Amino acid sequence: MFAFIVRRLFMLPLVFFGVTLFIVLLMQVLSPFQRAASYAQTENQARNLDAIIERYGLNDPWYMQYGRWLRQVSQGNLGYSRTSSEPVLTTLRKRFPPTAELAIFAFFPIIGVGIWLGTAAALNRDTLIDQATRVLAIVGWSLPTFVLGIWLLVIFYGGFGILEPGRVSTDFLIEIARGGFKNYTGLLTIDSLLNGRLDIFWDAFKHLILPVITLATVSSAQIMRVMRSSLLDALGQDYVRTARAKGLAERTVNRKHARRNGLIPVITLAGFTLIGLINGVIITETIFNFPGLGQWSAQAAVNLDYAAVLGFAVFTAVIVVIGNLIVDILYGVIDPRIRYD
Amino acid sequence: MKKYLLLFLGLVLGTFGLAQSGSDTFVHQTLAGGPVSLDPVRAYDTASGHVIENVYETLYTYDGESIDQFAPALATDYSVSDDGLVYTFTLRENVPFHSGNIMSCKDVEYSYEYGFVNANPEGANVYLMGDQLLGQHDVDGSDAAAYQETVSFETIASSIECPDGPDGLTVQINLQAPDPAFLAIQAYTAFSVIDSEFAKANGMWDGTEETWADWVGRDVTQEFLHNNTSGTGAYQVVEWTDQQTILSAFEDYWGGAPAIQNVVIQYVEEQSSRILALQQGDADRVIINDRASLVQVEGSPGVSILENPEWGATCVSPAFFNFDINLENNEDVGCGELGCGVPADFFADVNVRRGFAHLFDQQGFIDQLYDGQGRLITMGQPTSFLGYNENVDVRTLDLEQAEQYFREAFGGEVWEQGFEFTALYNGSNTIRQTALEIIAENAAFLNPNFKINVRSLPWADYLARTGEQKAPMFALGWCADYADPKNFIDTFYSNSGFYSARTAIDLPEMQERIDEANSITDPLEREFLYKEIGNLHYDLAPMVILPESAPFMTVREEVQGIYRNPMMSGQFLFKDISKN
Amino acid sequence: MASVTAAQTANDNQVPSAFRRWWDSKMMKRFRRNPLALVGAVLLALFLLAGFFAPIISPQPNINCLRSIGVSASTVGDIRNPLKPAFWKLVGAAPLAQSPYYDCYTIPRSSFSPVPQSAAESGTILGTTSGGYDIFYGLIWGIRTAFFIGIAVVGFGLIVGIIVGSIAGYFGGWIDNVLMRLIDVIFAVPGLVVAMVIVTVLGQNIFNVMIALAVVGWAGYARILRGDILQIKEQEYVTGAQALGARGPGIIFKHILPNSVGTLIIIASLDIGSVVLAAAALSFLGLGVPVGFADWGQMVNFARNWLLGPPGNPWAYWFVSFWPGLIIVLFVLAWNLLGDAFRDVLDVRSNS
Repeated sequence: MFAFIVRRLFMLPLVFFGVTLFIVLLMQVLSPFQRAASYAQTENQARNLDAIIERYGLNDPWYMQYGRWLRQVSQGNLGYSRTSSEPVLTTLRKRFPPTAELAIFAFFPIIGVGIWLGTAAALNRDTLIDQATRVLAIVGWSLPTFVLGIWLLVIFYGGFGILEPGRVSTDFLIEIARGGFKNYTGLLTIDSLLNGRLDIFWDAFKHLILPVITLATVSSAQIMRVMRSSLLDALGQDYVRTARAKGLAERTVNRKHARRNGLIPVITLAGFTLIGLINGVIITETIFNFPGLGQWSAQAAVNLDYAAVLGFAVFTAVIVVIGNLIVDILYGVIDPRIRYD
Repeated sequence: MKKYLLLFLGLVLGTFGLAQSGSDTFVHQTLAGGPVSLDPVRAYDTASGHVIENVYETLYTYDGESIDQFAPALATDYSVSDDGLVYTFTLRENVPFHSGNIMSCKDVEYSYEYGFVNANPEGANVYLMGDQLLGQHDVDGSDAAAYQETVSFETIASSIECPDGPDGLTVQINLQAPDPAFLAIQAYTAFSVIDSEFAKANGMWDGTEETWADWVGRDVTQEFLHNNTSGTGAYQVVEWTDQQTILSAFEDYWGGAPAIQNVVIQYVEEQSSRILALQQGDADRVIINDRASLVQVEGSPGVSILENPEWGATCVSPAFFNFDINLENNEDVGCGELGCGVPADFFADVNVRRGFAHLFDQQGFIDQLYDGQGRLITMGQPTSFLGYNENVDVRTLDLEQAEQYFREAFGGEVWEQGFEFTALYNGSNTIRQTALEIIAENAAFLNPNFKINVRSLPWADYLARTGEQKAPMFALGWCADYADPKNFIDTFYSNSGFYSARTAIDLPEMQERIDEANSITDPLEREFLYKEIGNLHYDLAPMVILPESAPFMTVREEVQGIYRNPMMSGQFLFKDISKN
Repeated sequence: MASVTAAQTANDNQVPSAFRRWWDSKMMKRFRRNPLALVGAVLLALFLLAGFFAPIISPQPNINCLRSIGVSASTVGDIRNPLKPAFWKLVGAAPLAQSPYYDCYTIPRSSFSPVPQSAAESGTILGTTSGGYDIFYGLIWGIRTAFFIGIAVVGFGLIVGIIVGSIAGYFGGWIDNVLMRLIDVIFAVPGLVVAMVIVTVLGQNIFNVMIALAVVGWAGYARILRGDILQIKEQEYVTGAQALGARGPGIIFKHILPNSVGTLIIIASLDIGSVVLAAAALSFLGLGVPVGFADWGQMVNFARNWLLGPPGNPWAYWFVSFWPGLIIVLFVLAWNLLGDAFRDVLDVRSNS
């Protein structure tokens, strides 16, 4: 097992170089002039693109630029993000907690709803329940995220005035910025409880409701589908027939024997879903003005913010590799048939 | 346990009503993308300007809504020598910085010198005042060696002096050539007065010649003043991220503590979200992309749409013609000749340009895109600037006229063979896209051989392509740096201005007048020259200027004291407003 | 014994037709029993027909399109006439810049107004979006774009994935190792962000959007196929075939692939839906197809600033988001139901 983990961790440097090299080469498709132009936000600033090329070394061959970046990274400096006007590392550190918070809060409803619907569908195969849940889940998944998001805003923010975009309301924003609020984890909900501020907790929680609903509607379909099919697989297995032949109650058969095994593929998918959430959900964050990684990385991609895109790619690569490793380990723990050597 | 439950429930129910922002807080929601830097010598964008103009101040500033009248700010009085080369300012007494230091001449000297020492290519100091104070503006910090050779520290130091000593209240600025726009330019945020003690104590340039070489062209976004401020303005920065900027009132402000205690500027990408916030009272002012969207706001209870027919914009958006198209590797010119493409000198023929000008329906554009609220622009500068000639006609849709000109163009070849090219605009700018498509549609209607495609490019690509002179026709624009016609006329029409690299424009009659206007200071004479340029614009049709939409502001009714100065990044200063 | 055989042969005179055999096969029986699968199949069939016969159903194309197919104001009726070449030119118009009839994918505008107009106001069937683009036209021609993008990207992914997966699975050893590491890198790449960079760098057109989506898409198929191959390699019937003398790639194609293809088809059919959604996401971020192109994602994006109506009538512009949203949902639903149906049908061991 240990050897397996070590071998997988060797993936990190490989993925790191692979992903960053890929992006660097991609950016090289643009001429230095074009890359320089991305530094100028207005016409006035575009007066002197040659100067920008000089200053940022955009004319140098790609391996030199890549080498420069690598050297920077080895010193712990991921560069400066034009998009957020601060060092990339600082932005990652600032924007990771909100994304993580949203990911955690969305994760449980997604998995919960997915498993519940999937089980209902599998146990009632080919009946109306099965068909209705499947259609519902797929409709949720295929509905463009931002349409759903903005509709929710129109209804709950515009119509009822109870839930609003952003992470926390303005008054608390000012209060937190002023100081006196200790950031223990960066997760507002937990920090506010640790600070003894129930009002901030409730406010932060309220701001999570709409994004979570949006994410759950869109993402639970996948979990539901896998749950359904793997539970069906499990129900069709010989051991289930044996259990039934033994005279066990249908419920026990389903609950204890089929479902447990049916959950295994779901767990892997759940892991991947969480990894995906942690990498930031671009559209949801944009609609609800949630200050997470998705919003920043999308803006950086459009701005060709070299340092930011690379920095973000490094971040996701690390998350994906370690995340996959954890998922595989869990998989091995849960499914005794799997052996890693 | 029950007590906590009740408390919790109380809070829960209570917060449901807490939608409005308090009367001492002003919330402004604008487009995504925050300030680039809070260092005045580096910032050159609107978002940065919005913060800097409330946190820092200049010697003289704009008087209310006026763009050519100036009111004392950090200086109470000034005088100009007879030859127009020496400006002497008397500073205001006992003006505190946020740090507690008192402002005096040494701070003004430091601020100006710092701007020229750093000569940041992405900032505006050398660009705007280089000619006047250093004798040149072409070389800046991007080429540190060349800059130090061309501009000695001596030149920088002698451009601004403190005749009464560093702690005195007299500032003397020495120009190398008279500049009628000097007062206008010094009002720009790049010339804000920085707290020199604060800066020096925190690792910025120490103000001496010994270290100036280290700071030429230095990337100041990595330095202290990038996100730490100590100005004389009515507000201090509490927090700055790309999500929001939070300002709080400076109690000791020399003009008296402002009414609004807290200002939150939020950068929100989703327009629907901004509109909802305005309607809910969570935002006191929001930026709305275009007039057409006002239909979603009009009539909302508690919301005011502020408009004034006298308000003018300070940006001009033309569709430019490229007089000498770079045909190499160019997918937008067809085959490079009439008939199946366009030749390099297609737009050099004045008849072609006039013909195109008559393909654009100016008033129709205003009606469709600006809901009828807009104004035709006669020449390439804002309506409120000196020398704007409102008596010039604007060529608009007239298919007969267009046909006449096209038949004359290239000895009749244009009409016979037709042409094909692609017009460019940037990103998702619908105004520019629509203008080009209107022209394209009318052209096709006039003569089926006139084929114009319209295509959008991402910003970086767009700048690059137009910079390489490859765009046959493109829609771009320019926003004012300072309130003087030079800022626009030179930019658009001069053969050495910003756009000349993109359009290869060279019209001798215009050039004559441009050069002359730049060499004199008498405003009446200059006005006359600029008005002549307006007439020439009609005659020579060097570009098609899109009408401007009537400016508006969407605010909550509770806000009092709003005014609109088009030269300010935020149109007004937060210290001047209050809420009911 | 004899009497039974006689009775049997008496019935055996009736040999069922090929169609009958297919219709009654176990696969089709299960398919028919599953009403959702039928719904999916019918929906897809409708989409195919509507897409193919777009020239008949859609409103009149814009002037550049008409010019490129050689039709003038007087002969404009030809586009709805299957007997005329103009009709077939339109049918053959592909949403690629290289196609001579590419202009036909640009949605005609009834006005330039940024405010969406309802069907009644604009004289169109479903109304116009912001910018005056005809919604109905966009939906119909968008069907072709959707099929094109979906099938091209998924098709590319399948082909590349199968090749890479087969090589990795069959040869094993270091080849497998290298290819698998490559796939791991692909998976670690932040997909949407890289797609955005690709479109920003290469330019905003439909071809580059497809490249952006395809670059990352094939890895999943490769991994699955390779996994299947490794698994099946162990199984008896392959060793059996080898014992019988079958060699090399033949084993892959004859014995392994057919078994894996089932899984791949299921996943591919689901992916077609996700590719269309991903293209729509790119449009939302401003990096999809060019403005005015007949693409559902783009049309939903037009609705972005117009989801909120005037005060007092918040749903005034419902049609701008509703119709494109509905058609996307139906399209993705159709492919998903079909994919689910394939799974159920190809599933050997479930309860009957």
